[in-house]
Amino acid sequence: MTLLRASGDAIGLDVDLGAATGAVEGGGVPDGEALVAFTEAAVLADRDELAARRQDLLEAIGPAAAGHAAATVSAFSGLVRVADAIGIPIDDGLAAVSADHRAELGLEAYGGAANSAAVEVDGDRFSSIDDLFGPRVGT
Amino acid sequence: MAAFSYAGTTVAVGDDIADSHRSAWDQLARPGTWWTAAERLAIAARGRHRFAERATPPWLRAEPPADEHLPAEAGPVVDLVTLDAARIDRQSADGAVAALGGRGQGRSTLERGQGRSTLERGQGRYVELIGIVATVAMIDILAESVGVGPEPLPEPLPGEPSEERPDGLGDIGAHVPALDPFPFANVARALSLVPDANTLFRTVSVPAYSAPGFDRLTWDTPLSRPQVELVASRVAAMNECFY
Repeated sequence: MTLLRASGDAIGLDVDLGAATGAVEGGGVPDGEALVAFTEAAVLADRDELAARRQDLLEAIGPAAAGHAAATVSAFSGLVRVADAIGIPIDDGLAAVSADHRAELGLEAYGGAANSAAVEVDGDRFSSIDDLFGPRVGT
Repeated sequence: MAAFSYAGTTVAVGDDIADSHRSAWDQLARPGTWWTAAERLAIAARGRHRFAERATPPWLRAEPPADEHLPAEAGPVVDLVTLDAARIDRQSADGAVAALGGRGQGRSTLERGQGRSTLERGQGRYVELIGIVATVAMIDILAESVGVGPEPLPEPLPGEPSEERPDGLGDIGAHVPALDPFPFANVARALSLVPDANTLFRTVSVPAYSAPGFDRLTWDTPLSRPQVELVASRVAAMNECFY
C-alpha cells in the first residue's frame, strides 16, 4: 500500500488507501472501481462474477492493460503466500513510511504483523523506492 | 514444452508471461533440492486442487485425489500454505518443518537427506514446498483471470534431489533462515534457503510484476503504476497479508 500512495503522489494523484481494504470504491485511481471489482472476483474465484468483471475491465481499459491487471493479480497471489508462509518481516524503510496507514487501515490486526514486531521505525518520509527496500529492489 | 497459449483470450497476456509459465513447468518437472520430481508434482497437484476451492467453505471442500507420491506429512502443509498462509505463525511453521524433516523414517526414502539434520531437511522441504504451491497459484489464477482452463501438469523426470544448502544463511527474523546480507527486498530472499525454489518462484513473479525501471514510481506501461499498485494492494488485503 505504500507503493500505491507513493506512485499516486508521483503523478499528483490523491489516492485513498481505503480502496485497498474495500472501505472505499476506486480510491481516486483511474478506473479503480473496475480494477478492484475484477481483482475481487479473481481472488474470490467467483467464475461468473469474474467473467462479467473481466468484460467491464476490458471495456474500461482495453486488453493490454487488462492483461497487466491479471498479471498483477497473479504475482501477488503468489507473493502473499510466500511472504506469510516464510514469515518475512517488512523491510526497515517500508516499516517507517507505512506506520501511519497500517494503523489507520487496521493492518496491524493481520496475523503476519507479528513477523515484523521487531522492525524499527525510523523516519516517516522517503524520496525513492531505494529508501524502502535498499539500493536495489526486486520482487 | 507445455503450451500455455493465451492467444485465444480477449485479455492480452504478454509473451513474457506465457514464456515464464512454460519455463516454470519445465523446472517443476525436474527433481528439486529436497523433493523428487514426482513429489514436486504431487505437491503441485494438491496445491492446485486446494487453490481452486479457496473460496469454498472448509466444510464443503472435497477430499483431494489420493496420490501415492505425496508424502503424508506434506498434504496438510500444502493445504495450510494454499488456503491459510496468513495464519502461519512461528509455531505452526516450526511444526511443519518438524513434520517434513522427519519424513523418510521407515520408508523407501530412508537414506535420503541423512547427511543433513532433521531441521535442515525440514526447512529445505518446507521452503521448496512453498515455492511450488505459490508458483502454481500464480499460474492458475492468471488462467482463471483471463478465462482459460488450467494447464495440465507436466510429467516428472527421473533423478534425485540434490539436498544442497547454500552458504551465507542467517536469521532475518523469518520462520526459516535466508541469505544475509542480501541486496534486494526481503520478499526477494524469502525462499533463498533453496535457490532453485526461489528461481522457480521468481521466474513467474518477476515478469508478472515489473517494468523497465522497477524502482521508478511511474511506469510507461498500459496500466499505470498506481493502477498496478491498487490491484496489488487489494490482493494483499484480501489475503490479509501484512507484508
